[in-house]
Amino acid sequence: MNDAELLSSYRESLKIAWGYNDYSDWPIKLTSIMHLFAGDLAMTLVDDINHIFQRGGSQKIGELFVYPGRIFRLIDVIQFGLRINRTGLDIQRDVAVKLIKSAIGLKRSDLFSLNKSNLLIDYNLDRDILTHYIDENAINQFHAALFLYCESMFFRGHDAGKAIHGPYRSNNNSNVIVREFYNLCDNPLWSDDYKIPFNKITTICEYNNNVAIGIDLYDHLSYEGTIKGNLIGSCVVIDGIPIIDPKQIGQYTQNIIKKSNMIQNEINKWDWKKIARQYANIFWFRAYPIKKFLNVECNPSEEVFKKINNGSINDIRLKTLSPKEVALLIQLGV
Amino acid sequence: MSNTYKGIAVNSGSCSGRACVISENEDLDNIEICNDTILVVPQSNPQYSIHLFNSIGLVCENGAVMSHICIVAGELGIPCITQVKGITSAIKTGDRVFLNGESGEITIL
Repeated sequence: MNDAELLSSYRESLKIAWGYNDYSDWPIKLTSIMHLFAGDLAMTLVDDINHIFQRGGSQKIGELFVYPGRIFRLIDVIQFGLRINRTGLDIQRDVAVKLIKSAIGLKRSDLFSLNKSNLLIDYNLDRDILTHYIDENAINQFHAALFLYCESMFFRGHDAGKAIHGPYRSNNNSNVIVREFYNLCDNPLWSDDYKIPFNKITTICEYNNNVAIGIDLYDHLSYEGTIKGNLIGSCVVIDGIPIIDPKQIGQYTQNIIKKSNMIQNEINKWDWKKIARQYANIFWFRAYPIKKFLNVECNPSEEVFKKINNGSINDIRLKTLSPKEVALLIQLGV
Repeated sequence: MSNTYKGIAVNSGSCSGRACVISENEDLDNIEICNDTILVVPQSNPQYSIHLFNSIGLVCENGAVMSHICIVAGELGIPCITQVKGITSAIKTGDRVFLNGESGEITIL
């Protein structure tokens, strides 16, 4: 595909992934505050991305982010910021193409997941680890709790904490989904009291073909049928150690729910400016693989926090957009 | 007047049980979830998701198919429908309801 075709396919995949929907967000409608920090983040990232491209090409950025969903979600953020800065369309397109090309090297399935699969090129499924079967209810609740924790901790920037890939097909036509949760405690966003004591959790689950599982380019899971009753093999690895006792997983689940609740209760006490400052921290953290590689500052500048403190919510963007307005926004993009 | 409301089917399966309707700004500490609770919420909010763990179904008045709470319901393997206009006003906590995750309908029994 040439650059124009890449951008066109990217636009099409956005329509499918977002389904022309726009709804209120927790803890605040992100688009109502993004103007206060996304412009600054985008400007620094465009420079960083160009710099890395000169040094290692598209492959290097792919290596830094590991999961293509993280890259696709970052494109959205950068485009939003560049539009706020009224940056020319040529620059917007250039950086989007660079990031899309970075994702190419990570995937062995359709780049934009139009076939509902997100297969990583370097992932080799070890079938031996799927010989265990953990109680289905325990594993489903464990996943739900981890999703909850990631959204509580990273808000809409939850790609900083989770990635999902698959379905990898097996010989007997089953589907294997890999859910990876990372940065769970090794992040500067919350104090230790609010965090679980594990940093990386991977679950590998094999489902029979009574349920069709899809994953889009943003790592959204979708099902035709239900996963209930269709799990045939599973494996949980926490910080490198396999865990097979469902009771232990149940205890971890309760702790993850407890910590998520603590975070949410804390956020409920915050005003919108504090939420916006935390959102800025989260967005810079999303980009930390780039910043860390370049050995540059990973946190928002004082200038960004000043903008938030002196700024105001964009009331127009508090409104929920109609499907027609969302479609227009996608067209206005790259 | 029809006692069936239609939205978009997200997770398949069906169930019948008692509705637990959460309104905006409700004190969530007082929510009681039983073993036949179908959660009815105004929108996606992780604070509502906590109550999903012991529920048997989910109905959202607003929210994308890919919204967080719908994905959590999918991970729990429980039926879920979304974008059911006016449902948090139409149903009261304690009403017996039937949720059809295939057709995207909820019926007050």
